[in-house]
Amino acid sequence: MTGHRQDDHLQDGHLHDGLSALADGEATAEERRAAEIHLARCLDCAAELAATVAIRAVLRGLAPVDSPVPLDVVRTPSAIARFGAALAAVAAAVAVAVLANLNVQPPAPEQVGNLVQVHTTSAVNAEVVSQMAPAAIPVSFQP
Amino acid sequence: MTETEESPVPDWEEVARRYGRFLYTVAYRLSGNHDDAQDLAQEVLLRVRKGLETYRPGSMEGWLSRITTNVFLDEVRRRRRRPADALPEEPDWVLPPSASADQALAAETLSCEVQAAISALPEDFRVAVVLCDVAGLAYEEIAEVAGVPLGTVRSRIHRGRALLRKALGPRAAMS
Repeated sequence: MTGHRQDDHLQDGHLHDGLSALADGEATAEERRAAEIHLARCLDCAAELAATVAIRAVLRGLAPVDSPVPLDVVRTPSAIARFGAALAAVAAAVAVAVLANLNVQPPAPEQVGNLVQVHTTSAVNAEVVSQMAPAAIPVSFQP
Repeated sequence: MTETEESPVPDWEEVARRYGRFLYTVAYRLSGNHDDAQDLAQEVLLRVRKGLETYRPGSMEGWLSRITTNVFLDEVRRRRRRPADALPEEPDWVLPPSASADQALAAETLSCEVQAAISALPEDFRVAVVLCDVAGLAYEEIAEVAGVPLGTVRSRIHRGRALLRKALGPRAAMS
């Protein structure tokens, strides 16, 4: 990258970088005093200061930009990958357990998905658990 | 909970909610298009969520700007090694939220032209100008974020603005 020339003003007597510092309120008191004296007699620097102030206003006047999709709900690709991997691991573990202990057909992917979803939901939402309870009651049971 | 009290690392959802627009605007001005800005902003939030970035209580804008700049420059270097993935030169069209039709068109056109000029700046100049004029950071903060001396920041901001003036011509005076 291009190296800076911090000592420009020493080389040709003009303000250069100091003009942006001046426009941004970043110049030291000593620089401001020197700039004031210089600007009173240097039309080039006065014009460049005006142009610097103008482009600065254009940049600072740019409207904020909103993401077309909410940032707090969109998962990053890596997060999606991790979530997918975790889901696959759970599904595989369930399938292995079912096959090993019950010796039945592996559940369809949709059923595994439902199983994962039900357990995930029941772990965080007591309301859903209470809704699951009647399903466990034998149909023959009548109060 | 002592650790939490000593270093209150911000919750990423809170950051997204309160600083999402700031973060996205900086990401968009650096990258120049929505696809890259979304990837950039989400990577920043991911790093915040995973606690990968050391949080020093102070300016949240400064902290987010530092992470955003680091992620942006990492991506620029990665793409430089793989030219096929180069960042697009043409920025997306950004619609201002509300204005009359004529004002909207004028603002839209200027905004798009300014963004195109920003996107054409060398990355170091672009970072300096965006951190100064979009993120609103002080020179000292920009020096810290970019890891360069104060004099270099002054130079990059001024030269970056000069290049923008040259690229935009008379439109650089519209404000």
